[in-house]
Amino acid sequence: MGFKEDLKRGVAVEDDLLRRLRSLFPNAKRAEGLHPEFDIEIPELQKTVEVKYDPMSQKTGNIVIEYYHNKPSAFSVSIADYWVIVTGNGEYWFSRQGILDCILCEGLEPVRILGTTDRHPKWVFLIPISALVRYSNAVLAVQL
Amino acid sequence: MRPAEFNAQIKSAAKKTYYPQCLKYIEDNLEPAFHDLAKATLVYYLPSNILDLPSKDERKAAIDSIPRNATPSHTRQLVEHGVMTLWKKERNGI
Repeated sequence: MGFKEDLKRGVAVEDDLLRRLRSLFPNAKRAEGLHPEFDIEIPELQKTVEVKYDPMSQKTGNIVIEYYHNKPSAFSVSIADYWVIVTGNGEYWFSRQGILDCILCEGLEPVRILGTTDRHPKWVFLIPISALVRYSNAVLAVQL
Repeated sequence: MRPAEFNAQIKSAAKKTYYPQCLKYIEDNLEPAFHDLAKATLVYYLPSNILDLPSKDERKAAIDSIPRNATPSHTRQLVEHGVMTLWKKERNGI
């Protein structure tokens, strides 16, 4: 799977979430320009959302939370109030603090991975879904 | 540098507890190419070390030693939240 395909699938997941959010919050919109701090803004609630598509988690059982990719990235720079992680068979909502709580309380250690489309290694936490859901605000449509 | 070696160095840095000393350890023991990564990783090891300090005043001083403009952004906020989380976990005996 190439970078463009990954990007395309990620955008489709964001579009789907945005469509559903707009049914409740018509002013919800995608972040404009280069915005690593969040993906979607909900002005009605003054909240922001980071969307992450992680289909590999279905095979590995782990959600990848990146925090460094040649520079501080993703979890290190996001200011989103909510992280929505879409695995392909479920959608999990977290606060940023919830993810941090999981990393700390479960005693997780960072690991270095090199994705097939990455030029530089990423530093990430591999968080078992079974552990992470305990820190979730909501779990939608999980197919067991 | 192997990840296990890197993580061991960051654990040692975090044992310094007070942010300026942690940074000094990083600068003294890691090559410059790893400094930004080390600072980004420190966030996850510092809370448990701060919580281990014997008094509330010392814990507060350790958190206050993190500049509000430390990089990555939100370092102080994340560490402070992490200390509170681990404190609640310990208090509740979870």
